[in-house]
Amino acid sequence: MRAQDLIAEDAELWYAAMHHPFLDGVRHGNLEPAAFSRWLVQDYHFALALTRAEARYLANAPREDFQVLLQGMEAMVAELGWFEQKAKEGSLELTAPIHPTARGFWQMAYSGDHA
Amino acid sequence: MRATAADLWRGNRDLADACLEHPFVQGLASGELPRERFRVYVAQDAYFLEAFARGYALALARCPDRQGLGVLKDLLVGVFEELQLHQGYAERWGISLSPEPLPATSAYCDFLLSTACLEPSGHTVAAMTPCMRLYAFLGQQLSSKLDPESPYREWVETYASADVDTLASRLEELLDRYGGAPERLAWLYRRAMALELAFFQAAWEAV
Repeated sequence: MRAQDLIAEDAELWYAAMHHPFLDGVRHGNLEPAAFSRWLVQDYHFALALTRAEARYLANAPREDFQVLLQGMEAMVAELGWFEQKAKEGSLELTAPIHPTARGFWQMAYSGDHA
Repeated sequence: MRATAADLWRGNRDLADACLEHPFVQGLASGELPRERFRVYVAQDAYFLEAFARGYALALARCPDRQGLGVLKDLLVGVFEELQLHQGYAERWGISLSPEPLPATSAYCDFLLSTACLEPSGHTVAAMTPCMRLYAFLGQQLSSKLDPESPYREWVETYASADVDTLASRLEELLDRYGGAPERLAWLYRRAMALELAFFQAAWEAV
């Protein structure tokens, strides 16, 4: 199965996710700043978990896949820096409690023991 | 009080000096190391570095703070840059980088991976620091007596570089910050250093 097949399998959900009012607001520049701030703090939690998860995937991956996973990890660490910069600019508290939805993602990233 | 990374290095200088004085290592600077032995070493080291990369990845996944994510990511990138040195030699001299591991290589890989899988990040860092600090030390010590005609000049210059020294220092900072059970840290550090010496000896004896 390819990544594109996964999208095709859940095409409606994919479309809804891509056309959520939040993303429309980002696209059109009229998203309420408080909503963006909430997203930023919660996505930071997720990005932290994903960075650690990618490290575990690399630890278990075949040698030939190291490079692509390493690049993914590099991108994630750069993204964490971007979050931290944005949080500083907006005086946001990145240690704010994790929202249940973000926690769900977080647990999924940590649960990949089969990887 | 727990020993710092600097204390651990000082306490293991006997093994670091034994590595420096080893005929394999001296032969890198003089250029007198038989090429066949270097070929064995490069292949075994490439094999070892794969385990080293996995060890960093496991430490990264488990490290207790955000700062460690960035430092360990940079160290992981450093391993890949190191592998480019091996790939360069492999291409020039027709060396396969997928060898059967020698017993000394397996011992070191198994030690690193079992530590990284079973113990906290600080202990994993203690097992990985000797390699980084030792190679920075060897590069720096050898560079003053490097024969410019040595076919291993690139090896010496790579490990003598400021980048390698900086990476070793960043790893030592993590070791100092994370710490762990003092006796265990000391044992892991010394064990890794002994495995380094055995690694050079194995390449020396292989052919």
